[in-house]
Amino acid sequence: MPNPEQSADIIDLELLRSVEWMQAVECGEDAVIWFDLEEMGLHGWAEVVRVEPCPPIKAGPGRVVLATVTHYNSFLMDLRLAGVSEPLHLTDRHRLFSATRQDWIPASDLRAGEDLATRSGTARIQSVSATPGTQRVFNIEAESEHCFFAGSAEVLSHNTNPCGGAKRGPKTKLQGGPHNEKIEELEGQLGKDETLLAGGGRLPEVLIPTRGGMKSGRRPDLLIRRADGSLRGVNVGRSKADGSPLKREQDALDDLRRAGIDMDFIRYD
Amino acid sequence: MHKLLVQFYATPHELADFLRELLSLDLTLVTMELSPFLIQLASSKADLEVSRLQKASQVMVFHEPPVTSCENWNQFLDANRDGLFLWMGRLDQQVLSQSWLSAQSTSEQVIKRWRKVANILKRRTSAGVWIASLLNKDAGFYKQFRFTEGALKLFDEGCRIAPPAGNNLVFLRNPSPDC
Repeated sequence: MPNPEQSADIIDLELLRSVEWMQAVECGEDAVIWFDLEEMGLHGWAEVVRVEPCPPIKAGPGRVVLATVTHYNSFLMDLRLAGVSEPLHLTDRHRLFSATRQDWIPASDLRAGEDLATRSGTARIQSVSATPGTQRVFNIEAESEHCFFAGSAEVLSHNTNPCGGAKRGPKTKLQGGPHNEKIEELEGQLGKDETLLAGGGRLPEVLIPTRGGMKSGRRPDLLIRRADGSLRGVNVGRSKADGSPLKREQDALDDLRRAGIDMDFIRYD
Repeated sequence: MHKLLVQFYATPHELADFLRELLSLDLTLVTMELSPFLIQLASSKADLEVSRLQKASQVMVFHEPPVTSCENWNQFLDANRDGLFLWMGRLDQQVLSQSWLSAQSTSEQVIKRWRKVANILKRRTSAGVWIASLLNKDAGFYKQFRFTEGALKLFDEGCRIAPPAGNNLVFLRNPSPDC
């Protein structure tokens, strides 16, 4: 799949998947399937190049690697741990388990003085710094567990999960997608003194940071500027039987409202 | 649908410099005021001086001359698909707002051409800012947001950097944990 952040880069994914999974996402040679690799910050359509039978899996200890992901990345971090000479090289989104916060934290959010979980206990972070340049990076998904121990300090590390990210993708307007049709309909109904700044089926949706929310950023379906210069957002989504937004839609609204954005919800179903 | 989006911080002078460079590439630039709606073709570099851009809030860039007989922005967007849109963030009372450059098209070729223009902007900016919640100070790194040297200088001088919308705090350098 094309790397949205490195225009000349192609992300290579190699997956070991069940026939049921392949049928669910309509995966076959030359098919195009959607991936959300949230942990790596990669989203987009991936072309299926080859489908082959699974090679024999050796018996014995250890876990089977279910997926490998490799691409170029310019956002790399060096993590130095107390008592460990070799720094840990990570992408900024790679998650490690913070014993201090008892949560999976992306490398870019880790702070000096924080304790990380390791195979033998914990290790304290001495420093976190950005690494200049672009390098090829790798990630894996391991069988059964969603984590593995990384580096000489054996830090508990979250794996990537391309399995969870694959789907057929949202239907476009041309495919009769009601979500996009509703968005374009709303864009056509904007008031005379309202200006579309982003989204609306005409322009790309901008990323609005929503720190402390369910997600760290959201993209309203429409971002509109009122005549007085204030902004309002509109999200279009599915609703429950009583007309209220589905949970995922409500989460998005809550995140954006908590970040101080005046949000409206319009149902399309 | 193919899309291009670069969200960034730049001073008014840097935005004007960037636009003047686009004009030198034989692109057609249209500046727009919103209330009331007013379109002006920028035919010379003088039209893109900071003093003249002060009233305009957005600029559209085209490879071909656009249709300009439109009553409002939404009509203009309908009449002129495949343009490159620049929303110009303001520097107002020591607050610098975010700018963004965006395009959307059903044609991959259109976006490829605009990507070359976006690369001019990328060369003038660095990637990655820190953003913290105003409510609980939870902070994180956003590599999608870029900034110019001028924006960094303003930040170092105490200028507040505003998020694209909402009330999160933006830092162009890694903030200390207690800020």
